[in-house]
Amino acid sequence: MSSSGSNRADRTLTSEGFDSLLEWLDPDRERAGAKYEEIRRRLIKIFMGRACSSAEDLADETINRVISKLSEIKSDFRGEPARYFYGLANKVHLEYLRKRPLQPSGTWDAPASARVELEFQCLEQCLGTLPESERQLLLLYYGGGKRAQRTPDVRNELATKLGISLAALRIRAFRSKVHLQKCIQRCLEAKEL
Amino acid sequence: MQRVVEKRDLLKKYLLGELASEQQIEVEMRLLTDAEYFEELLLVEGELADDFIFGVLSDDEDERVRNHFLAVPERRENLRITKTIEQYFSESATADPTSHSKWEDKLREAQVLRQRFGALVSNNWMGLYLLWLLQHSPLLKSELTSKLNATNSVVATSVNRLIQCGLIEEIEGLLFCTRLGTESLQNLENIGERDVHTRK
Repeated sequence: MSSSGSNRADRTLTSEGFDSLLEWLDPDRERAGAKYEEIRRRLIKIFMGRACSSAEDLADETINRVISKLSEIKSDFRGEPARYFYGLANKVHLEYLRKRPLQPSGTWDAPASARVELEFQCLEQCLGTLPESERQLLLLYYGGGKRAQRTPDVRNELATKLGISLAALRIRAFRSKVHLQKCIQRCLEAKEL
Repeated sequence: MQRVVEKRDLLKKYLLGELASEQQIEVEMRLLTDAEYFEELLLVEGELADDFIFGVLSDDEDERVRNHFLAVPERRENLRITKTIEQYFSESATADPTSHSKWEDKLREAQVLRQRFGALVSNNWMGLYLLWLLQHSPLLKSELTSKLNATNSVVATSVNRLIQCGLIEEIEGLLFCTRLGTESLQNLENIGERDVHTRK
């Protein structure tokens, strides 16, 4: 668990608290673990959707608060636990808005050339971990046509060209890109150590 | 189909911070309870970043990406990497019409060289030393182990990597340096000599 957020110090997650949360989510411990991971993942995306810069911390804070309330609500609560998480996530978000330092939102800069070189090296290394078919797909998806000729319909056009459904194209391109992003991040971390 | 497009547009607006609060609550509740919907959000999020890089967003959307979507550090980092991927493939694809196959050949070649280099430098350059020993005379694995004063498993790992790269081969228990192995050693010696000349 992370350390930032409001009143975090006196709300340290104990193993009893965590066990109690898992029990509430599902009587089967394995299924409960999977549900917990899924809820956390989605809370992070919700905080990201609200442009919070520390989405993971806020998701963990929400979970901590749910745990601290469990003894009060467990016996009477009916319905989808996700709703309860959502209610507390909103409170955590309001507190975040009140406390966050006033700062301009992050600016987007193209990567510096030295870093690009490093990223290219990692990219080449990571491309080797993808099957040939996925490398081809990425080549067409990202390298298809001159930049100036790209249209918002680029994915439809490519799916037609490849003779696959748009849904299949979107999922394959997404998975390959995520695989590459994670691989490149790991590679960069190793190189920058 | 129409509903699919509407769903995608709604999620895009959500990611751009364009929804009214009631719509936002609806979307977020569904994200928490509907696995398929959440997966769609991940796709739309990735595509929004791609479209930003491709430069196909409207001015208003572009502005919202910069001010809202990219306020999250993880997204900025992912976008930077996506930009690198796009740049790499764009340059490969626009370099010349035959660059697809050239790019693949170059990649394949680079992978082979990297593997070969890895086999030589692993275990503190043990691979190179093994190759050098075998260039002088074929040896049994047990003989290599005693010459190197190393454990069987460490030597076996290096030997296997050299075999996989085609630098040595095993015939009836005896290990030989292949022609490729000899050429590789020669190339390394040439590089070493060039390096010495350059320094002089």
